[in-house]
Amino acid sequence: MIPFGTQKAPGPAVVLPYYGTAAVSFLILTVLLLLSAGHFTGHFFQPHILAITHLATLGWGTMLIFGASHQLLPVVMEVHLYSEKLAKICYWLLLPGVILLVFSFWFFWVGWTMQVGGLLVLLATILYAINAYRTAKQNKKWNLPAECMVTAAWWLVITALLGTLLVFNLRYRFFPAGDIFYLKVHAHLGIAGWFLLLIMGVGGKLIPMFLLSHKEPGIFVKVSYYGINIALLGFLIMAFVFNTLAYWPVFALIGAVSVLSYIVFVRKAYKEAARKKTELPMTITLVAIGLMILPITLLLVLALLPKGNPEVVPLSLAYGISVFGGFITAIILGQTYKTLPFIIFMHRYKKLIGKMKTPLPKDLYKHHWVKYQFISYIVGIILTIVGVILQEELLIILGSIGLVLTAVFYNMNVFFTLTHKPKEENKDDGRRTKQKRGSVRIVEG
Amino acid sequence: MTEEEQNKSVDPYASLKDNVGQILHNVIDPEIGLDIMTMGLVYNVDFEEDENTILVVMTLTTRGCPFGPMITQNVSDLLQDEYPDKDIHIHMVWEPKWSVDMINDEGKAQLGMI
Repeated sequence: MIPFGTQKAPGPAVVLPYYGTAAVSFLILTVLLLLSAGHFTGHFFQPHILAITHLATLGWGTMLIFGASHQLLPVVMEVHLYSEKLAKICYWLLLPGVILLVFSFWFFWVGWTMQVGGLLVLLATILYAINAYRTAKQNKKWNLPAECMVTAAWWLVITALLGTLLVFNLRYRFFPAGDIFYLKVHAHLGIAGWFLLLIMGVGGKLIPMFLLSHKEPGIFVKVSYYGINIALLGFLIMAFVFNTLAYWPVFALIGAVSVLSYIVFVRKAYKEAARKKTELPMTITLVAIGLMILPITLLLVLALLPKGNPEVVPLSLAYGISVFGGFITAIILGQTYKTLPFIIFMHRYKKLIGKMKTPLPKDLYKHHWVKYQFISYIVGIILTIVGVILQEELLIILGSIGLVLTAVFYNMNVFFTLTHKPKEENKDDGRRTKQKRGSVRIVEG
Repeated sequence: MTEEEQNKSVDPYASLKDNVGQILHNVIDPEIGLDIMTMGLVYNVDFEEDENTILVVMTLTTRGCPFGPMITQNVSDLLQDEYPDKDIHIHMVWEPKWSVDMINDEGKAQLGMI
């Protein structure tokens, strides 16, 4: 028997700054997207797009995922977070790192600001990976979701390392091939190695749990996990050993099969769900999983297009947007409402349950704001992607306005939840005044 | 002899166990919004006289449930408040595995399952 009830989520000061900062980053990035709509009718390797992409991947996606996984990894592994201090330092490295990087890309300062920004982000990712690994290591029985989360953390380190080297390469030119070559590798390490694996890991645990489905991650998530890792390793070897990206469609195909396998898992979990009537945050999450098909489709179309075809550039941009603005953003927009209210509830109400009527986590945010957020998001992302594919600036502007509205509703809700306080303090109803002489023992076995 | 009296003659602690059951109706699974008795998460409540101990055998909807520690803490807090002189022993088990079939009809209706 092992003691139960000793599992300890990290304190709110560890995870909540990540959530708040990510929400603000999301708002800023949608405004920048609106201001730079014209740039999305050109090539993707240009300052404003690089700035927006890094704000999306680091300031928005990674920032929020760091917050959520510092909370969730101990839960998934049934252990304490290895170090709260590391988690706090990680935040204070990531934040200035992102600010420096985004400013440097926007104005294309390739000097020390970009280099320091890159190094700070790299350090943050290393600390995160160490914390994730040491947390998971406390439990000898690793499960698949934890394996995905820890592997994703190491892929993130490799992504950040390559990114930092690319930043230095802009100034000192030591890589043999051109920037675009390495940029493609850097982007896909981040997309598949970091975001996809992590989403698959966390989703493998949380989606069945929230749906009240007892579908285990099992073979479908295993296929996804190994498929993604094999594709990434193959892609890396092709790029750095054979100095070519010519065979990328082979690895894209393996990646596509992996993603489809994951979609099958989610579909099965939904079919076995006791809770068929899903709440909006779970509906958004399921839509996000469905949105994974969009970048796969674009990738397969790109694989079939001949080299030099003029459609390659807008389709590549649309592919990038469908990844970061599509399923990654969508899943965060949904899962924020399944994690943040839970964290706030845990910290503000855990001593009050049973002693007073407490709200539930789902009562800690405004449901109609989630609805408006979802509608504006769907309209916004569709218009943006269609606008980019057709190279229509007006559609991109209209889409960006939709996404700005999404970010406004999202921020309103996030800060509404973050600032939530129980209505009355110290709800001691008198029962606590009884002197306790008995003991409490909680065991698992 | 009423059914309650018959139960008491068989189990002298039947009313105590009933009371514990009533108390545990106040422990809510915050994700689902139902109490743990309605959810069927409590498998058994017993009283060990020699050790003056209330034993609660229970489970969670899923292993590693994020609300698990909070739920068990609530169980122990409420029982300690009601029975400050007794030892509270919560035994968390994973067999039999909880399933939605264990939710009572009232709970199923609230979840829209029936």
